[in-house]
Amino acid sequence: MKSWLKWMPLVLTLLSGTASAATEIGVITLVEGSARLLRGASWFKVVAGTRVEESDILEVPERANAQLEFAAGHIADLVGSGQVYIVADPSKTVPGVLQMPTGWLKVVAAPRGLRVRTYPFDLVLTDGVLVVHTNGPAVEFFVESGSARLIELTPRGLDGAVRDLMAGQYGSKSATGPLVIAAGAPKLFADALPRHFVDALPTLATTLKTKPTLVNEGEITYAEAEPWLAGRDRAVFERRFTGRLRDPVFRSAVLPAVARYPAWDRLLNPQKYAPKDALTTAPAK
Amino acid sequence: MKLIWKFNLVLLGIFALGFVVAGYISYRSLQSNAREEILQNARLMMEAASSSRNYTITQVKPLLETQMKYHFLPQTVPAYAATEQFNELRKKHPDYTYKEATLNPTNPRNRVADWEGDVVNIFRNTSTTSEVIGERDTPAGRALYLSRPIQVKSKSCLDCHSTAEAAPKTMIELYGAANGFGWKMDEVIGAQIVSVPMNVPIERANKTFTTFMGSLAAVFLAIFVLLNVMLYTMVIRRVTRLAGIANNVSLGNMDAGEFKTNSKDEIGILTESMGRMKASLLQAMKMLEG
Repeated sequence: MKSWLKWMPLVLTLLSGTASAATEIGVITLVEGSARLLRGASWFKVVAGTRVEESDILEVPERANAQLEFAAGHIADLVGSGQVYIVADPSKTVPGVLQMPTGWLKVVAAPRGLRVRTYPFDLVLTDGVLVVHTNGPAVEFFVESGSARLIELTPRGLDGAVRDLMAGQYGSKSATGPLVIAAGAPKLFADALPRHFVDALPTLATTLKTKPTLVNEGEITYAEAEPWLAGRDRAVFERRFTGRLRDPVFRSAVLPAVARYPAWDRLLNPQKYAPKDALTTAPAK
Repeated sequence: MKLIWKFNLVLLGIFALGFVVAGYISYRSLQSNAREEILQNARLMMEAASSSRNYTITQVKPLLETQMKYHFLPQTVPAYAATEQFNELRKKHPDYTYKEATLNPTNPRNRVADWEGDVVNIFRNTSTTSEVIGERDTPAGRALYLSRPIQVKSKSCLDCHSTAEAAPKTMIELYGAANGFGWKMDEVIGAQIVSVPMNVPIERANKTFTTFMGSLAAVFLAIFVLLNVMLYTMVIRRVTRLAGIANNVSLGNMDAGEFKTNSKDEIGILTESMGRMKASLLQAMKMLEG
């Protein structure tokens, strides 16, 4: 066995960045169909009453729906297929942040504000209601009430130009086209809305006193992790999913593309990064 | 002319007068009651429509505010709600109609017809007029209409009816930007008009009238016949017999008959008197011969 392999479990454990016990920042108050939560690198089945922590990723499949209510007062309703990543604790950071790669999301933001990250831009909503529909780089949104700011992202992913948005404004950006802002949601958008999005979102957190036990549904696969590893927070997810390299199936799936993940490359192919002196001065037998 | 004919002529005259007077009074009364019944129906329909409007404004519209941001829902419009509710009623009662006739409506179906425009202008020209009632002919027959003004009293009305630019985009998408704008506060922009058919209550009144007059005529006829029978048996026949005997006695025929009666009424007294007169005459004639 290669000498470095026996150290890998320890290294992986140290590098996996397993968080200390995180505080609960919200609760899932409504689930229709099925939904699951990625905490760390593990999937858990979601039911009404499931508590949510920072860095959790909520996923709902096609025709399913889940609603989160945060202690900070925000409400987020996700309709699938879609995912939302709670980037930072909406209770502590002003504003809280949700990252949404795909799906339909309706958010009701408390006065402290909420930031929704999409592929081409971020939307910051203060004390209002916003509906967002994303499909990778294509995004459309509607400011149902309140006011919002649209922050365009530079090619390096940093905050760029800022636009103020008013209630009733609709915006859309296709994968390759420019951002277009208009007054009023077009009929196509309105017709495509999940049916319950046309009504106010209910608040149900006070009715869910019991905390259900999380049921583990397995570890994340490379195919599921790959979009996050290629996204805005790739370094964060590299650290987060490092522990999965223990899984031979995951590791073998990573290997062909390991060059994209420098940290993993160092772990899996340490010989590539060993000093050249060590190689050239090995004693002859 | 015989006594009985004179009597019948007078009786017929009195009956005819009474018949006409009773008929006139009862007809007027029945028609008035029928009209009042129709008016009550119309007022009830109008109040139902107004209640529907208020329910829509106070309870339905607030619940649908979020939905209205995405789709214009005519169910939030009080005029639409009242009209549609009435249309449900018309499925079973097609002769009743309700319309919020408007000079410049958003929905073209509410535009005034000619006569409706006249009604609306009455309200526009006389601010003190709160109700206009009238009758008109319809394909289904005579109808009574009750109308009340529709006046812009709330600024929320102007959210959709001031200018096209201020109106909800979803509303413009549905109805266009050409109609239903330019309304002003306190302006009378139309009228609620309820039409109720008059034929059923009127027919009922007519039927009642016919029944009443028929009954009255039957009663009059029965009285007429009975009186004739009584007159004949109690008076005419007895007087005729008396007259016949008296006539014969006057011509010297003392054996024509006897003035006999068991009755103590006036004819009986006359009969007894004539009997005593005949007896006196006979005795006088015997004394002369004697």
